[in-house]
Amino acid sequence: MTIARRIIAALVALAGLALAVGGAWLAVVLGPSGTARFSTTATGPLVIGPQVLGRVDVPVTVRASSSDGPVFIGAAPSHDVTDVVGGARVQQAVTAEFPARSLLLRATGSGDLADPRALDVWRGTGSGSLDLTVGVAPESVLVVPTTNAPVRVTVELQRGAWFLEAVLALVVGLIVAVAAAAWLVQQLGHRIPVGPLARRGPGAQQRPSRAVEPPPQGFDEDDGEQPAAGTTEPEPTAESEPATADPRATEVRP
Amino acid sequence: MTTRWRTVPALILAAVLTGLLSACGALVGLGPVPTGSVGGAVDASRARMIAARVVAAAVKADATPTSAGDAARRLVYTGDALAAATADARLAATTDAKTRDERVLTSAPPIVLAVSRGLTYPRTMVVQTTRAKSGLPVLYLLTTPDVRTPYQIASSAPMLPGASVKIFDPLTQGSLPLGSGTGLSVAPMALTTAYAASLAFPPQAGRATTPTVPNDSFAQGVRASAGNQSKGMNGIGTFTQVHTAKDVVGGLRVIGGAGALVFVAMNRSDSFLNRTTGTLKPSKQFTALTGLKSVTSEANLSTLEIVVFAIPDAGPAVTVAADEHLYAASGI
Repeated sequence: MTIARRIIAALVALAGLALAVGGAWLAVVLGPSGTARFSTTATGPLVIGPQVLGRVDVPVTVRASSSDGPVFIGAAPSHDVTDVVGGARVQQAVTAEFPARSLLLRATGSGDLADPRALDVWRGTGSGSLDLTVGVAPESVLVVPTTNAPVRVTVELQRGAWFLEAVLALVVGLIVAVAAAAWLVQQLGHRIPVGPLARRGPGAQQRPSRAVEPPPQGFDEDDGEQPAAGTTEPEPTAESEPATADPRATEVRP
Repeated sequence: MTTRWRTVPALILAAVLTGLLSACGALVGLGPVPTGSVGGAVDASRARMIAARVVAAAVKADATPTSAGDAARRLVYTGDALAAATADARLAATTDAKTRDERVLTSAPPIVLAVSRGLTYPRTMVVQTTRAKSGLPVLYLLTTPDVRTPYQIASSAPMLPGASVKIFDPLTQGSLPLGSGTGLSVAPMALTTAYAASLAFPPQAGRATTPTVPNDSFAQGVRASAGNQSKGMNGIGTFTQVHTAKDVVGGLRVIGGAGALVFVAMNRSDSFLNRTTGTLKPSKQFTALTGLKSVTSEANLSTLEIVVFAIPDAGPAVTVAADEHLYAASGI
């Protein structure tokens, strides 16, 4: 049981540490605004579907920039975007990958996409960036560069609670890690054969009667299964480890 | 502190950690991909932008009666509305200043009364503008047949004095399409046919009025005009007027599906038969269309009539808007 508890404590400490590190990383990545960014570089028209935009009920901003001219961004129901694209050659953003923070693209179709800018299907259009609020129906965004230059596209999902959750994870992780580690160090600390430090330890003051009494015959300092004779606080066998690790046993030994 | 009590915090912390990890998905807010249905075919702000663009383009096209304006009209009008706009452009030179002034719209942006629900095509929009001088609202039916075609005016007519239109479902929700007219007190095409027959001159026996439409001001005006034309032909010849139902252009259901606003088109044929040896002096419009300055035996005029009915789910239909456009003429 003692070893099992120590293993559990070690695992809890590691988990807490991992939680703290992860929380800190997320807090830095998301920033105080709680914005998750997924980027990619596309060549040609790009469709960002509901599997990327609609998984989280938060405001979405799509940014697109090209070194060679303006970039059209239009948002519409996915059904309409599919109709607009038809069989034309486009890249589809299949999924947003985290923690890579990138968009996984897949090429589909063939032939050139007809200019979609003047169509009436768009619920919102922008040049360079577009803010949209995802509703109950699936929506897609079509990004169309006006030239053949590569387009850097970033999808931003903003949720202020994410930053707070990251900070909370950091704090909780630290507390867990520190508490578990402290408990573990305390436990392991009883095995360290130190003289003066041990006398100043809490155990030295709590059990003074044992400090002046010699251990019974056959008592071994490493034998945690034997209770100490004359102990003022007799403990059950199952919880006798403090006596086992009591450094005073070594101290009073002739 | 005993060992028992030292293990308690560790267990609590472990439970907290486990809870945090298990609730991670919920904390992030990840959910399934939306699968809900779309309400209005276009959202409200987009609909207003489209309506403003289309109406502005129509005003501009109407102000260009030359062939250069024909291209603009083909972009902004479709179907019967294109025929009407083209006819008006051909007769622009004969239109007096008063009539032109009466058609001028206010500068206020158009009001989108309704948009069709869902993503199926054709998509429809009912828009209202206002005439500046008379203050009469003008109703437009905008349609788009597919994703690549912009909204165009399929029909339009000024509202009749005193007429009103029931409210539609909110734009975010969208209005139900007209469909075949199921659930209405009368099928739109049957109503149009009956209405057209009721306007004939001389009145057809047994079909003087249609039982579904009260005697509206448009019908009164048409009958009065026909009577005057007939009087003018007294002792000269005969005048007949026949109205035929052309088509149901479209429409949308009002709120709750309790009725519909329906745009229809009818053809009117006016026939003048000269039984004398003299000649008839035709109107400026007739001359503009035919080049004839006099008619010796017969003159025929074809007019496109746009009528907007409010058809309830029970009870008589009401004519809420109407307009007419002379588009063809012939004579001997």
